[in-house]
Parts: sequence; C-alpha cells; structure tokens
Amino acid sequence: MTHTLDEIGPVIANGAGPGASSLVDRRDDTFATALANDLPVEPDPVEARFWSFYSLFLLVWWPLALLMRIKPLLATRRVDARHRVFWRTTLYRAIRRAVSMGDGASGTWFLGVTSIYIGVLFAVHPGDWWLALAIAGGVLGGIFTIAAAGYTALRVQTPARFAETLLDGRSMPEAIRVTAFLVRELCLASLANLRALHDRLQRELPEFEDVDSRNTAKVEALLDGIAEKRAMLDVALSAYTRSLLLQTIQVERVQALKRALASRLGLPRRRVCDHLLQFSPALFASRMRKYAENWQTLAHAASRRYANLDRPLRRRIEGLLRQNERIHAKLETRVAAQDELLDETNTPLLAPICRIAAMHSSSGSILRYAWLVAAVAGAARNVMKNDAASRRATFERAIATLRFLRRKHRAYPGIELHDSLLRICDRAIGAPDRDDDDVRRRKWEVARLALAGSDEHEPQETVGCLSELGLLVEGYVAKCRGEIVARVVDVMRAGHDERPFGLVVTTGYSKTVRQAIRESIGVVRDSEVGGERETRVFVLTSDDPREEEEIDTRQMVFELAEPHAGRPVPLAVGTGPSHVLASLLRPGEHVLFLIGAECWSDTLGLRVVHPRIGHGSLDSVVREVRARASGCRVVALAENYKHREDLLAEATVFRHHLDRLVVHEVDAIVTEDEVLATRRLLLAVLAEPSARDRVTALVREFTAWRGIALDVAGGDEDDDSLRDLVARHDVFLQVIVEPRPRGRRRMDWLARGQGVAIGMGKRHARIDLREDHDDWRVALGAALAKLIAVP
Amino acid sequence: MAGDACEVLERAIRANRAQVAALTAGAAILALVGVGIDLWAMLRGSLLAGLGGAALVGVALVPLRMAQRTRRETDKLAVFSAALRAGLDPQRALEVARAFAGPGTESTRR
Repeated sequence: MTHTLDEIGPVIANGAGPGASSLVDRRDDTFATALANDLPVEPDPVEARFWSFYSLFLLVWWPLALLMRIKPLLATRRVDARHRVFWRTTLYRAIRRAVSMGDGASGTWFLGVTSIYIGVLFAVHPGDWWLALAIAGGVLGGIFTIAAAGYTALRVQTPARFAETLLDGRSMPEAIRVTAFLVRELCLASLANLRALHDRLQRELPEFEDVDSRNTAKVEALLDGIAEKRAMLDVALSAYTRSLLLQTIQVERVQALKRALASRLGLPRRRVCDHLLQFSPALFASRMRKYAENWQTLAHAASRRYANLDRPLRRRIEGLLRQNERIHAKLETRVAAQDELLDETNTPLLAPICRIAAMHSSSGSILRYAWLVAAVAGAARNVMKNDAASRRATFERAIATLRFLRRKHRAYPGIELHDSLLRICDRAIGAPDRDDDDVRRRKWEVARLALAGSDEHEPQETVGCLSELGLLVEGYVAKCRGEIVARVVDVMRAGHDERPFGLVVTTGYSKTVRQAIRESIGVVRDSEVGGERETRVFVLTSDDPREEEEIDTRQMVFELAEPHAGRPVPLAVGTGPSHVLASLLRPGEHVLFLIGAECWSDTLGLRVVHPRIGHGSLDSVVREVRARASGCRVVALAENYKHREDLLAEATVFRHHLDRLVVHEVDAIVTEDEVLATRRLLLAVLAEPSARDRVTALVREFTAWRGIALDVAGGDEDDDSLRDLVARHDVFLQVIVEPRPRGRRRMDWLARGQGVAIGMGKRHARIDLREDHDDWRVALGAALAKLIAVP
Repeated sequence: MAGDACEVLERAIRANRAQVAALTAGAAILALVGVGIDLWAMLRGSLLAGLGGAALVGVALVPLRMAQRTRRETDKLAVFSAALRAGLDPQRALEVARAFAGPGTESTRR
C-alpha cells in the first residue's frame, strides 16, 4: 500500500486524524530519515544497476549487432550484383549469413529484445509528444523486428528442423495444406525462372516464338538463331542454372516436409508424393536440371549446320524441344494440383482422405469412399435445392470436388477404390432383383454413370442418387460379407479331408475375415468338436523385428479378442512370427490360412493380391506349414467386385502399391456367390529320367494354362510318403512309360486316397504311354482334360 | 504537533522506500528471467520461447511503473516533511509538496 501525499497531507494539514494515528505506532531514529528527506532523491540503487546494465547493453550491443548485419549484407549485395540475382534472394542470403555469424538460428532475437528495452527505457519517463512518438516507434519497431526475427529464425533452420517447426501442433489437413503451400511456392518460383528464360529467348530469338518441334525448317531456323546469339543463350542459361542452385535449399525443405508429413500421417513417403501431393521433390529437381541441360545440348548442336547433323541426332534435338515443352506444361499442372489442395472447398476432405490412406480393410475403405462421395453430393443437393440460380455452378463445383476426391483417394494402399465402386454398381445393377425395387436400381444406374463421368442425367437427379450412394454401398457390402461368412462356415464345417481345422491362421487386417473367424470358430467348437479340441486362432506377424507396420496385426488381434454379439466368451487369439506358428502345430493337425484379398483373379490359377507381411511372403510360411502339418489350406475371402479378368496384366495395381501388396496363390477363394477352389494335381511318372522330364514338362504346361497347382512325386511305390501326398491332392495322375522299369510292382495304393477337397471329389487316373508313341502331348492333354473337367 | 506530523511522514516515507525497493527488485528479476529465456530461446532456436521471454520483459514494466509512482509520492511526502520542518504553514506546505513533481522531471528542471 503506497502512502500518498493526498492521503496523508490533508490529515496533517488539518490536524491529527485516524490516517495519521495509524502511522505513529512505531517510533525509531528519525534523524537518518529526515536527512535523507532533505537531500535530493536519487534513484534506488537496485534500479540504478538495472538501468546501467541496460544502458550498457543498448549502447554496446545495438551498434554491434547492426554492424554485424549490415556489413555482410553490403558485401553480399556487391558480389551478387555482378550476377544479376534477384534482390530478394540476396537479402535473404545476407540475413541468413549474418544470423549464422551469431550463436545460431535465433541470433536476431537480440534485435527484437533490444527494441523492447528501448521501449522500456522511454516508457519509464514519458514526456513530450516527440518522445511518445519515439516510444511508440520503438515498441512497434520491436514488435516488427520480433516477427521478422522469428521468420528469419525459421528460414535459417536445417530442412528437417524447419519441417518439424512448421508442422508441429498442426492438424492433419493443416499440415497437408502447409506442405502444399510450400510446394506451390517452389513450383511458382521455378515457373517464374522458366518464364524469364522463355521470355528472354523469345525476345532475342524471333524464331523461338513459333517453333514447332515437328517442323524441321523451323527447328533449323531456331538452331541458326541460337548459333548467332550463343553468348546471349549462355548468359541466360547461366542465370537460370544459378537460380536452380539457389532453389536447392527450398527443394531440401520440401523434401523434409514430405518426410515429416508422411511420418505424421503414417503413410509411406512415396504414396504421399505420388497421390496426396502429386509432387516429388527429387523428380522436380531432376526435371529442372534436365531443362537446362536440354538447352545446353541444343546450343552445342547449333554450332554445326542442322542439315549436316545425323538423322538420329536431328530427331533427338526435336525430342529435346518437345521434352522442354512438356516440362514447362507439367510444372503448371503441379501448381494446379497444389491449388486444389489449398482450395477451401476441398479442405474438409483432406482428413477423411488421410484416414482412407491409413486404412487396411478394402471393403471398409470402399465404404468410406462411398460415404465421402455421398457427402459431397449431399452438400451440392442441399445448395441446389435452396438456390436455383446457382444450380449449374454448384453442380460443376461438386463434380470438380469429386474429381479431386478421385485423384487423392489413390493414397489408399490397396486397389483403386473408385474402380471398385464402379464394379459394385455394375454388380448391383446386374444382380437379380429380389426386392423388385426399380427405384433402387435406377439409383444405382444413375450413380454408376455419374461416377464414370457421364452427364447424361439431370444434375438434381445425379446429386440425389450420389448422395444415397453411401447407404446403398453399405447395404451391398454387408450383404456380400454376410454371404461370404456363411460360406466360410460351411468350409470350416467340411474341414480338410473331413477333419476339422485345428488351427486357423490369418494375417493383415480384414473385416470379412474377422467376422468369418468369429462366427465359424464358434460353429466348429460348439457343434463339430464338441469341446474336445478347441480351434485356435493365430494372427501371423512379420519375421522382421524392426518392422513397424504392425498396426494391421494389432488391430486384428484386438478386434478378434473382444467380445461381440452372440459370443460373450472372447476368442483365444495368439500372435507372432512364423517360427512361433511352427512351434504351435500339433502332429496330424489341419491348418487353415484365412486371408482377405484386395483383388483376385482365376485366369491362371487362383491368385489374390494381399498385403505383404513385412518383407517376407505368406507363401514361404505356407510351404513351411505344409511340410509340418498333415493338411493345409489357403483360403482367401473376397467379394466378386474384386475380381479382375487378368490380375497379372494390370500393371497399375503394382505400380501404385508395390510397397504393400504381394500376389499369392491360394487353394480357394470364397466369394458371395461360390467357392472357387484350386485343384492340386500330383504327378507320378514311372519312366527313364529323360522320358520323365518330357512328361513332366508337358503336364506342367497344361496345368499352368488351366491354373492347376502341380506337384511331382518320385513315383516309387515303395515310398510310403507318396500315400500321404496322394491324400493331400485333389487329382492324382500316374504316367507309366513303356518299357516299364524293372522291379515295378502294381501300385495298388492308388485307391486308398481319402482326401476330399473343398467342393471337389478326389480323382485318380493312370496313363500308359509307349516310348514310340507319336504325340505324347495329345495323349496327355486328352487324359488331363477328362480328368480335370469334372469339378 | 509538527514533530508528530514529521514522525508520521517519516514512517510513511520509509514504508514507501521499502515498497519501491521491492517493486524494482521484482521488476529486475522478471526482466532478467525474460532475458534468460530469450538467451535460451536463441540457443535453442525456439520461436515460442523467444516470444515468451520478450513478453516477460514487457511484463516487468508493470512493477517498474508502480515503483516509479511510489517513488514520486515518496518525494512529495519528503518535500512536505521538509516544508513543515522549515516552519511553513501546513496548508502552504501541502501546496508546495503538491507542486513538486519529483527530481529529473520537467517541472523541477524549470
């Protein structure tokens, strides 16, 4: 509580009062106080030290700091002026260099802090208007300097730190937008450099303006022009190359941002580049360099007469001109791609797209994609309903947003969802109309056409049908999943060779597999096994302990283990790498591998695309299990819309998703309509080695064409293991080439094979071939066709 | 009467001086902590910490202004006390003290 004159003065002047009496409680030596009162008041010692410290600080540091920054600035300007580099770049480099001279990135903080101290100094003793103005200027200058220093400090950080600082604390869409913004800035700067070079060439070389790379005369005229003005081209290219060098740090920053963004989103860097940003810093840098190199090659070629050049070289020169045109055009499309990401309309879609990209269930992703399409269409429908005037414009914007969604959803690690959605529409339209619901069929048809890019229908109807796509697909996927699960239950009941599966192994994450295991395991345990032996569930993980992408497995284990409707007792689920699985196998146990599939094909055997396990393959694990267990089946669960005519011909699937997917051969694929099973043929040839090789090659050719798995046995009837082999195969073919080897006994064990495959009976056949037979191919082909024709 | 009044005034002046010292010390500590944070931010390269340090230095202004105001009041009280001891009429002494704005300011320079 401060004692003021206004409080005490009147009390004393008018006589003692309560205000005074409260102060006369304590008495001490008043002489020292009186003496101090009579002397002129000096600043408090602590305060004096405070100010002297800052006075020294300001007087010494401020001019020093200023000098430190101005000197290199001037020096850099002189050096760079010779090279005609942009002032902005020079200033930036000068500040960067100056700051680097200090203690590091944030050296310029001193400027800001000092300005505040100046403000403090003036603020303590406010006086005339000019002083107040100076104080205001000091404080404003301080704030500005702090902002500038912060910006500079950010710019001078290492690329990785720059990326971390920039993305820290930002939401997923914001992180994408910030990265897109910097990519756009980089592209725009490069575009400006390209245009500067382009404009200069057009100014100096009139032939360049209307050059046509396919017109030889024009190319020749251009090269003549270049030969005349070679010096100008060299200077222009030198300036361009220098600008490229100055951009290196920006490229590094974008690269660091890409890495930071990928790690935040939990996606591989490649997918972030290819599908989300649609920009690769490494490719960009190489294209920009290539542009300059092409011009340098043209300049070298111009030193000789065009007509005297070899024909391949002339073609090459024309090709280089075309390539430069493409680089220029491509850069503009990169800017457009970033503009789309920065567009406010598309911002709400960024987070769902990232979630799709991080999903591992294909049917779940398709559903989410369909709901996103429905959300976009629903928003457009509402606007169109309320605002008739802007109906067409709204529709076009909605279509543009859907195109954006279609481009970006490819960040999903599996097959292309849009394509799958079209297939779902096709199947839904072509399916027998059980409900006799024409309205629903119409909706599917309109949505199908709209997704395919057709504008056949009215905008209102299109957005109306698309807005219901989420619900339609949800129903369709649920129906398919239910039917698949029902079939899997049958498969589990049938078991392998009429014996139930003791161990069900799965890998990766699939909602259909999860549901199938939950329901089928219950059936087997309750009704078939009768509590004697419980079917165990094992989720296979990667053998590589460094593998980080274990989220699929963890999610699968967690969801399998949690109780759900109709099954209050949770399943006993084990998890681990392949060696743990091998140690779990009981003698004589039958193992079922149940996997989900991104897509499948039955053209050349049953093949599915499935997420890979770490860096290894499921095939090697299956081989290992087959060697140990008495029976093993690999069954994939996949809806029919995932069917591809020829999986191996669709290179784009592997181009986009090689980082995560791998092709497996499976024994059976369970779809909502049927169970497709691979037949395994066991071939035993009793013949001389040369004849045996010939027969094996012919049969292998046939089975490869028909998509049948082939195993070749030794054919020695004394070998007891052959009986087991026969039991594990669907078809057994014995080929005997005359003259018969000596000591051969009748193979009466053929009839003892008891194996029963999924949906297929076991069949045996025996062919006798003579050595001098004219055409073994025809004989074997006919026998095999007859043998295999019956499913 | 005058002796009692002077004693009252001296007591108030001493209390004010103690307050000025405390406030100034507080301001100095705040400002020093702010500068320390700024230095740390500079070495660390942290934008947020740098802003926080600068803000703390700004906050140090508040106790400093309070200390200054108290000191001025103390000066006035001292003048009032001196005028009373010089034998001035209390009302006149009050006017003189009120007219006194403190050393180093425009009014005293004039």
